[in-house]
Amino acid sequence: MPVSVTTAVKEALKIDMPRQIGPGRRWEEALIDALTTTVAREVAEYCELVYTTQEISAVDDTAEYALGSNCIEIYQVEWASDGSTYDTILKAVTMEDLDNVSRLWRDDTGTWPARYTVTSTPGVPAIAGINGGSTYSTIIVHPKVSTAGSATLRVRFLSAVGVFDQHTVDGVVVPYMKALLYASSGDQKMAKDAPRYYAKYLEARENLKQAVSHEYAESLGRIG
Amino acid sequence: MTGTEAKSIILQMLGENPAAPAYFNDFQIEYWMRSALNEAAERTRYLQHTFRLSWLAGGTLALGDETIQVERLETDDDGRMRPITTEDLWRTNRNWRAHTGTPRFYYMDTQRTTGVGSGAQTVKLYPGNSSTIWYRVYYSSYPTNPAAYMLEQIELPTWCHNIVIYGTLARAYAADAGTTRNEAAAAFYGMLYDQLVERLRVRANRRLPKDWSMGDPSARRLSIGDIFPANIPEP
Repeated sequence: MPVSVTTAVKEALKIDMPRQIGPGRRWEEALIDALTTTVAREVAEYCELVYTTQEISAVDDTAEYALGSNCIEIYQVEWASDGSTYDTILKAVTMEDLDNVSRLWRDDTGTWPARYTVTSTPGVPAIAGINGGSTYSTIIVHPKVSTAGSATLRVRFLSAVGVFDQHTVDGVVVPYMKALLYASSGDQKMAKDAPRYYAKYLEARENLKQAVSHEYAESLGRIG
Repeated sequence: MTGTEAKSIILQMLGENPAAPAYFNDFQIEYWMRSALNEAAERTRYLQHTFRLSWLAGGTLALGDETIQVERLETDDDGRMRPITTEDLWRTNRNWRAHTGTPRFYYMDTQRTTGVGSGAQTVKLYPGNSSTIWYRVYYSSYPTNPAAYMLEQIELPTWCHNIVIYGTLARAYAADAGTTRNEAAAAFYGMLYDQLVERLRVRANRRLPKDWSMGDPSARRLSIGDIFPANIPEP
C-alpha cells in the first residue's frame, strides 16, 4: 500500500537516529523532508517506478508544447481530435527526419499531427533565456493543425514522482538518507558508516529495479 | 526546488545555520552551485537553448558565453542551413567572403577580436545574406539565467536536482576552509555527483531514439558512398 515517503522516512530515521532529528537538533525535520523528496525522485528515475500522462490542449497553428517538469522520458505521444478518443500515435523522429519530410516543415499544416520531436532533455523547467529564447523541454509536433478545436495531445511518460510502499521506503530510501546524513554528520564514527549504507542502498535499488521492470513491460520497449 | 531552497539544504548539510552561516558565505555557495550545474551541462549537453531573431544583411550571430556548441541553424525562408568549415569554403570559392545571395550554409568564424568582452565567437552565413532574414538557432548551452536562478526553479529536471546539492557539497568539503574541510565527505559527494550526472547523460542522449545533433561538419561532404545502400544482400 502506498505511503507518504517523507513521513515514512522521517519516522524510520527518528527510530534509527534517536535525539538527532527535530527542532534545535542536528537535523531539522524540514531538511529531512526536502532531502527525502529529491532522493525519492532519484529512485523513481533509476528504477522507472511510475508511468503517467500529461494532457495538453492543442492550439491553432501551434507546433510546440511545453512538457511538465516531472517528465523523465517520453514513452508515447497520442492525439485525440475530439479531445477524448486517442486513436493516433505520433512517431518519434529527429529534426533531421523532419527536414527530409519537408524542408519548411514548421510551416506545414494538416488534419492531425503524425510525428513529434523533442527539444532539451524532458523535465527541464520553463525559464526565460537570453534573446527571448528558452531552454525548457518541449515537444514539437508535425504537421501542426490550423484549427485545433477541442483536440488534445496525451504524453505518456516516465514520472519523477514515484509511488512508494513501506518496504521500498525501509529498504531503499532510508539507507540512502542515512548515507547522506552520516556523511555530513561531522562525527567521524558515523561518517565511516556512510559508504556501508550507500552500498546497502545500491543493492536494494537494483533489486527494486529488477522487480519493477518485470511489472511494467512498457518500460522495456522504445519507439522508433 | 529553487536555487535558494537548494542553498538552504546545502548549508544545513554542512552544519551551518542557513540564516547566518559561520564558515561559508552566500557568494561561495552560489559559486559552487553554478560550477556544479555548469559542469553537468558541459558533460551531458542536456540543455538546448533556442531563440528566433532577425539576421541583418551581411551580419553575424555573436554567440553568448552560455554557448557550448551550435547544433542547428535554420531560416524561415529556406529551412535548415548546413554547417561548413572555412577550409571547405576556401576550396570551393577563393572569393567566398564577398559572395552574397540566399544562404545555404553556416560556419564558425575562426577570426576573433581580442580584449575582454569583445571576443565573442561568431556564426556567419554563406553566401552572405543580402537582405534581412529571420533565423532560429539551437545550441547546447550552460544554464542561461544564472542571475535569476536562485529565485527560480533550478534549470534541471526535478529528478536530478541533487546534482546541485551533491556537486556543491563535494566542492565545499574539499575547500580549504579550516575545520569544515573533509576529504572523505568530498570524495563521497563527488562520487554521488558523478553518478547522477551520468544518469542525466543517459536521459539526455535517449530523449529520442536517434541523435539529432550535427556532429563534425567537416565530415558531411557528399561522397560516392552516399549513393550505395548501407547493406548489400548476397545474390
